[in-house]
Amino acid sequence: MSEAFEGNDLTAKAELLDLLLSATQDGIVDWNLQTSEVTYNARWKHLLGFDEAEHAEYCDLADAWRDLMHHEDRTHTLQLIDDHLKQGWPLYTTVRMRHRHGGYRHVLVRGVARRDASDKPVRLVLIFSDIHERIRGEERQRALISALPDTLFRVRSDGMIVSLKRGVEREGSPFAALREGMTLADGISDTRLRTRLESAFAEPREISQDAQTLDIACTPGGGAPIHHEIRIVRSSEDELVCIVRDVTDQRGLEDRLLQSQKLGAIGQLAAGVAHEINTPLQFIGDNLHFAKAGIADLLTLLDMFRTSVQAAVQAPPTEARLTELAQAELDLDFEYTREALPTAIERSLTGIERVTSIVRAMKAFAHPGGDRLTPTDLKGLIESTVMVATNEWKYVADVDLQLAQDLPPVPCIGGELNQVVLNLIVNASHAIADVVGESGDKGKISISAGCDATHAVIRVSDSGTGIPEHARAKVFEPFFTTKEVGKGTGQGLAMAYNCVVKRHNGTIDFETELGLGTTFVIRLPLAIDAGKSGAPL
Amino acid sequence: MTAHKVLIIDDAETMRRAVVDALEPAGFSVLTASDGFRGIAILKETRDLCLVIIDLNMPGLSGFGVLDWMRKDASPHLPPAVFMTTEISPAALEQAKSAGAVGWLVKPCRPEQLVTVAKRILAKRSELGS
Repeated sequence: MSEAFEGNDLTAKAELLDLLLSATQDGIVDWNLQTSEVTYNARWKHLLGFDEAEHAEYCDLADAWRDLMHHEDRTHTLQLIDDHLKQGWPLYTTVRMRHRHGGYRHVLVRGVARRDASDKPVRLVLIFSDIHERIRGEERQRALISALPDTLFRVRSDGMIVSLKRGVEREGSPFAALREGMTLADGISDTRLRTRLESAFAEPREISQDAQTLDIACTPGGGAPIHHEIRIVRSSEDELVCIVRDVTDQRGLEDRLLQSQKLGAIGQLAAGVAHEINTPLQFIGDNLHFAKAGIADLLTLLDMFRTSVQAAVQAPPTEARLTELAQAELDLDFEYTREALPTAIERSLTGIERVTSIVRAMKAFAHPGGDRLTPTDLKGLIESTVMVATNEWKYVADVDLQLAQDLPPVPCIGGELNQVVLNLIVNASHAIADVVGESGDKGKISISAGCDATHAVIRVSDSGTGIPEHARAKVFEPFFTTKEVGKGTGQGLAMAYNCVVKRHNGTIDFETELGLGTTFVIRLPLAIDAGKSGAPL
Repeated sequence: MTAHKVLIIDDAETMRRAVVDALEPAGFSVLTASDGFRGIAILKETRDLCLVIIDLNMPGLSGFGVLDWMRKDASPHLPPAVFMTTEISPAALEQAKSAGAVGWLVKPCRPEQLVTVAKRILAKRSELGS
């Protein structure tokens, strides 16, 4: 340490003092308590906008520092000075000082008294630091935070909630009862969140510095669920900032969006189904037209034969009449009509059968039961979905179904699961279309269903492009899509995930290889878990 | 005459030692506690303390926590309390005053400063007591 700070060399001390006074950014007021004489350094005058040469006279007055202080701050500051002089309390406060150009500056005032041997203060040095920008910044930050609809709180490493800014919390919110000074154990009822907050301190700071998010839901009093999205950021070695956002409305909208996406998909399917029905209908029409002509010919012949039979009662038919009949048979191509007519009727019936099965599948697809887990015939569900989606896949792929015959009824929400299968078929078709293009070649979609001891397993494989590396982590996120605008909404797999994982307590995964294709694997529990059954959206 | 007893509650061992080294040569007897709870235990059982110096930021029970306990307990034998911190803020100062502290030391403080404060508080106490 320098001699000048600690030593007894007065010249060195005086020199250091000069240096410090010229280097400091602070205004200094030196108050001789015995003579009441007050001196100011140049910086003090600058601080409040006074030019040293022209306008400094006013500032040289002993009372200037008191006069320029905002009147609301003055009494308090004088009290603090008194406390310092009489009791030795630290003198440390912020005040507003009037600036020469109008307005007030926020200034931090610190002070130290020098005391004589009998502990009587004889001199007081007041240091004025300009903290205007800092205070303004803090005020802006406070305003910003208070304008946020979120609830914010800080947690100390010992689990104490040290500051809290309450956001807009709806009735029944688990965060409504949170108070400053509570511990995590008292204030946070959600065990998952509490554990996460507690464990965050155990992680190295670099890891927990990035915001982590956590979704929690609760149903106060069995009412409508409240959803919160929590962000946790480590703000220092021993403190966390936690931001709680009510996303109930958003989740509701997302659910509704999924619903409308389902309706939209059915609308789109309807166009495909109309096309599917149109083909057999045309075919039925053609066959019936043929049948109509054939029957007309047969009736003409029948009439001729009836007339001949009635005439034969009086006299046997003449040779000429018999020739006439034989000629008519030849002219009307009786042999052909006789052979082809039953086939035409047969074909018409086949066509009707086809239309009926499409309509049946559409009905099964659209009204597959309630919104609770009910034992469902997976085989039928998959077959009808494939049928309904025919128009989506038939130009790009062949579908190979391998559905186990002995599949037991699987507890599921048919109306949602068929949507999942449909989304997977549509995705598979799109992936294959990207490979085959307009070439007219066809890829392959294989759908299998089977089960093991605990789960039903549905696999939907395609020979498409595969999922690119960068997209793999995100495929189940809502609104994530790699398809062109207008083709994909980014809802299909998010809906599938939501349905399989959250509603059925199952799993959905995929295996993919670029250029070879993708297989989605859905596993649904065969036994209904009492806690999860038919959880309402 | 028995030495005046001072209690220092601070989680930092260096600070506890510094207080002992400053006050003992001046004739004080210094007791130490490494956290708020231990401090309260000593405050409860030691009837003739003349001063307690409390660190504000301690893990577990903070300095304000200790002062809060003292205010609620309100036993007549409890000594006056002085805070000791590295950081200082106008709000914390106000809080300390309204919570009943009689003084505040800013770390690092010189040994003679500690002695002066201790003596000043003692003097005030004997003034009031007489």
